[in-house]
Amino acid sequence: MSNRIMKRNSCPMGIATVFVLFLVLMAPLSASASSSVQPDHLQTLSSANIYFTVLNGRNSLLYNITMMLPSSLAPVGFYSGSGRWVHTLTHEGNSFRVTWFGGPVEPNQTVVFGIAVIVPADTGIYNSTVVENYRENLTQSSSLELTIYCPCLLGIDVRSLSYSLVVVVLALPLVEIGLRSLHVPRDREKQAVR
Amino acid sequence: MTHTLAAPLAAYLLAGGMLFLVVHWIRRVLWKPASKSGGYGSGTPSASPRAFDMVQRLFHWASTLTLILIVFSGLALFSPAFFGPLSETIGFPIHSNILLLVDLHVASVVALGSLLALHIGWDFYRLRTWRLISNGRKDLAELLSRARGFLSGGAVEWSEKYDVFMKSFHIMLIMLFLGLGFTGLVIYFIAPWWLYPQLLHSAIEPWWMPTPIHDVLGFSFLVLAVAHTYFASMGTNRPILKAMITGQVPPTSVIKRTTKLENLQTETQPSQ
Repeated sequence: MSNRIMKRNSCPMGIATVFVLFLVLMAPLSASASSSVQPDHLQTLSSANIYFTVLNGRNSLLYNITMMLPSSLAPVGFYSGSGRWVHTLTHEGNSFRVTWFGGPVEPNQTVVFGIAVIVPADTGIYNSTVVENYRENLTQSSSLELTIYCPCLLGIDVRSLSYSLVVVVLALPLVEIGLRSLHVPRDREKQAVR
Repeated sequence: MTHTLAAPLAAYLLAGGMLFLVVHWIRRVLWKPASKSGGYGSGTPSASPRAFDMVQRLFHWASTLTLILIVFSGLALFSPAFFGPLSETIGFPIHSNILLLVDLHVASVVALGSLLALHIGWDFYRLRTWRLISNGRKDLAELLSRARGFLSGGAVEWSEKYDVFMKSFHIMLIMLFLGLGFTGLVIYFIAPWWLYPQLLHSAIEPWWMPTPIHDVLGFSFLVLAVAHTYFASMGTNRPILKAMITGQVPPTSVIKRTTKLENLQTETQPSQ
């Protein structure tokens, strides 16, 4: 009897344990995923707008947000979605540091920050970090990936390919003249033989 | 996501048009040339050689110059980041000259508009050649005949002063200029993105997206302009190109014409 009770009790206990474990495991993940970036794929040699969405997942106001961008992504414009924000831009080693002051972001509220960048010609995956600085020296950081890709066809940038094709097409009549100039002496030779 | 047409789409539009011209060149120059001598395969000798008066030639070359300025400034404005490295090598960084490029683009458009007004006025009061350039039923027959000749390796038919492609080119130019002019006016007066930070470009764009429409029409025009230059430079059309410079077709050229519909519908003879 007691075994049966134990068995019956163990089932809800097990579920609760798994649930608690799940929460414990997910807690750091959700904390690290409090910021997101859109779009996370950028085209080489283009002007792009990157939008960072920052969620205040804590119970205190958020006044200060720092973003680290790879030095190849030079910021050329800034935008903040809600609140009153002031930004500073500094170049530190291999990255750009953009710091936003103001807001504030209320608990469980989000704010969108936009950064206009000039995307370089080099492809690859670059890391960007968003650090939320709360009161009492509490910080929370999110690591975000930005992929720079080439719009390529058979390994060639389609934009370069199309403009090269324009040059080729405009050169074709010149090739035609060259081919004709080769044909004419041959025709004359044939006539001379006859 | 910017508010303009996606650069790869523009590239595919341009590349598609260029690939067709490459195929045409292979077909007409390498595989089965229309004529070795640069003439056409069938038809009767032209009774009235092509001629362009001074005003027509002035209009043509002046508008060519303005269109080159429009295309180059337009491409730089469409994709400053792509052309940036190239422009910096010639000492003209695009990003710090956006306003100058917009002014150049608009000034060239105004100049082109003035030239078009001159062209229309000259044709209306002096030449009255609108009928020569408008498409009719027989042009459709000519189009089918030319397409058949192209696919089967036959000779090129020739019709009046302006063939079906020249007429279609003219009509398409009018349509493109109207579309580009309208969307350009809307962009200039209602959605001047160059006066706003990049992040706000989408916000000032009207719901019907005139900027991407302007881009599509602009790249369509570029395809058309390159095709026009390509066909004008081909051996078969070089006498017409010379006529656009000197005013008259050289007497030694072998341009022929067919004026009657029945001639257009006759079976084309292989040129070789």
